[in-house]
Amino acid sequence: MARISLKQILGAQNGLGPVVAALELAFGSTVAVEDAAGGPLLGTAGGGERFAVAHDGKELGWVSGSHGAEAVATLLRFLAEKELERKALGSEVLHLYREVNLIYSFSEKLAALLDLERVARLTLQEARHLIVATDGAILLLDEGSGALLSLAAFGDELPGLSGFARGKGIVGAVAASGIGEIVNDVLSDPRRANVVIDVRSLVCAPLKVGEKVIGVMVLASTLPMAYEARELKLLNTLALPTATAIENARLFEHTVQAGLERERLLALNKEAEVARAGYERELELAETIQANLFPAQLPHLTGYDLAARNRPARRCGGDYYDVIVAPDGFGLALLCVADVSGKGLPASLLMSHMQATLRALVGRSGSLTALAADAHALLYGSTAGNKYVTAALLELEPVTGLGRYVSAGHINSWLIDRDGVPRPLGSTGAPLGLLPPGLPYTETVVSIAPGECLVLCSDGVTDAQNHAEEEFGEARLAEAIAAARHGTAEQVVAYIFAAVDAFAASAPQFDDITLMVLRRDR
Amino acid sequence: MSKKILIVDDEVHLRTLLHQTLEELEDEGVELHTAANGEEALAAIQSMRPNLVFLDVMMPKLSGFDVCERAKKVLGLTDIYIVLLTAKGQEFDRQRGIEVGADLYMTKPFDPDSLLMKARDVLGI
Repeated sequence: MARISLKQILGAQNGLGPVVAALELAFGSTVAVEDAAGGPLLGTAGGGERFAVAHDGKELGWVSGSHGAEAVATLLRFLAEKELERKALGSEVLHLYREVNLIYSFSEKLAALLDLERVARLTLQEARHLIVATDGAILLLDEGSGALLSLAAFGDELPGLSGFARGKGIVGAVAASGIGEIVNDVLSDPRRANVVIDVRSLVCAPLKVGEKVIGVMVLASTLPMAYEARELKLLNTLALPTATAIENARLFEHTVQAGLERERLLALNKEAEVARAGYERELELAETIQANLFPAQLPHLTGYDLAARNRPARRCGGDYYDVIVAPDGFGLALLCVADVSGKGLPASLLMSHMQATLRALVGRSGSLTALAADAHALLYGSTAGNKYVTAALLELEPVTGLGRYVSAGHINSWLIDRDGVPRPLGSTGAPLGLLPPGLPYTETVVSIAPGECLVLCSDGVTDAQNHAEEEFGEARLAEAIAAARHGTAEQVVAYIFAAVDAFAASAPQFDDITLMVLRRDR
Repeated sequence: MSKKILIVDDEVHLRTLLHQTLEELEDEGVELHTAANGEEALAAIQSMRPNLVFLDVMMPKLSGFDVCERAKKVLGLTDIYIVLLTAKGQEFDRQRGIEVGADLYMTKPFDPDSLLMKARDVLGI
C-alpha cells in the first residue's frame, strides 16, 4: 500500500495554506498542523483541542486549535484518502506504462530477430516478466499433421513433452478455436489430455497471422493460480508481434533456402555446362573418327556402278560401310554395310575396331564365312559383352558377277533383277561379337547379271517412320529400288533417300540411314 | 538539506507518470516537485535549486533547451543535473543539447527502471 504523509498532502495541495487561513478567519481562531512526530507543518500549536488525522488506524498527524481544528482535521483526512486514491491510480498507471514499455521494447527486439528459436525464447522471457508462471512453451502448428511442436519452453513440466495436437487437450483446443483461454483449475477440466503434466493453472493464447493460427503460447503454473483477463490480454498482446516475427523468420528461412537452392542449381548448371562441353568435344572427336572411317572415295569396279551414302540420325551415328578391294591379285572386292550397337564415341570406337578387323582379315581368312567367324571372334574377345555389330558382307568377283553373301544378323539386302523383281538376302549368322565364338556362318551365293542391282542397307531405311508411326518397310524399299533400277547407282541411292524422306514427311529421323547400291552395267 | 527533483512536462499524464516512477524516493527523503511549463520550471529552478531536473524538450513558449540554457548559462547553475526528455522518433538535436549544457538526454516512452536508476545515481542514494 502506498505511503502518505501530511507533509506531502499539504505540499501537494498548494492551495491548502490559504484554505486553512480562511477557516481560521471564519472560526475566529488559529489552527496548527503537526506531523505524526509532533513536528510543525502549519501554524504554531498553541493549545485548544487536538484532533488526530488518521487513515486506516494510523496517525498521520495532528490538528490543534480552539475552533475549526476539527473541521481542518476532517478536511485533511478527506484529502489523505483522495491522495491515497490518486497514488493507487498512479501506481496502476505506472504499472500499465511499464507493460506498454516492455511490449514496446519487446516489439523492437523482435523486429531485429530472424531466427525462429530466438524469437520464441525472447517471447517467453518477456512473458515471464509480465506473468507469473513456473512453466511456459511456444508450440508451432504443423499444418499437415495438426501436431503442435515445441519451439521453445521453460520450467520442469512443459519442456521435452510431445504429443500436443490441434483439437487435443486444452492447448489443442486453443489452437483449434484461435481463442485464448484461462484455465485456473486444470485438474478438473474435462479436456485435460496430458495427465502426466503436473500443471494446475494455465493461460494460453493463439499465435495468429491474420485469421490463421500458426501455433500457441502457453504459460502455466504448477501451483494453483488465479490468472485473470489481464494476463490473457497481455499474452495475446505478446502473441501478436511474436506470430508475425515467427512468420517473418520462416519467410527469411525460406528465402535463404531458396537462395541456397538457386546457388546449388547454378553450380549444377555450371557442372552440366562443363559436362556438355566435354560431351560436345567427345561428339566432335567421334564425328571426326567416324568421318575418317567411311571411304573418302569408293574404289572403281570395272563393269559396275557403285554408290553409297550415310546419313546419321544424330551428329554421330552407328552405321558403317566400306568397300575393300583385296590385295590378293584376284580382283575380289568386299562390300560391307554394318550397324554397330550404341551411339557416340563408344559406337565410333567400335566402328573403328570393325573397320580395322575387316581390313586386317580381308585376304587372310580362307573364305567369307571364315572371315565372318574370325571377325566375330576378334570382336567378341576385345569388346564388352553388350557391344556387337550386324553386318552385310558381299565378296564379289567382278569379272563373273558371282558373289558370296554373309549376313551377320543384319537386315535383308536386296538383289533386283532386270525386270525389277526383288530377291531378299536374309541373315546367315549371328551378329559379330555378341555370342561366344563357335557358331557357324553360312553363305549365300549370288550371281549379279548385267542390268541387275544389289542393294545393301541399314535398318534406318526400313524402320524410318512417318508421323503416324508407320514404318517405310521392305515393300516400299523394294518398290523404290525397282522404280529407280535403270538409273545410275548414285541415282538409285538418291531416289531411295528421297522416297524415305517423302514417306516420313517431316517426322524426325531416329536412326542412321545407310545405303550401298551396286549395279552391274555389263 | 533534502535532495530535490524537479519534473517538467507540459503533459499532465507524463508528469504523473514521472512523479509516480520517482515516488519511492520520497521515502528516502527526496522532495519531488513538478512544473507544467518552461516559465514555471525556470522559476522553480531559481527558487528551490533542485539537484536533478527531468526536463521535457518540446514545450510551448519556453522549450526545454531554453530552460536548460538559462539555468546553466545565464543563471550559472551548472551543478544542477539536467536530463532532457525527448519523444522517440522525434529528431533530437544533440548539438543543441550539448550547447545548452544538458547533462543527458533520455527518450520517451522512458523505461521507468532506468529513469529511477539514473535519479538514484545522480543523487547518490
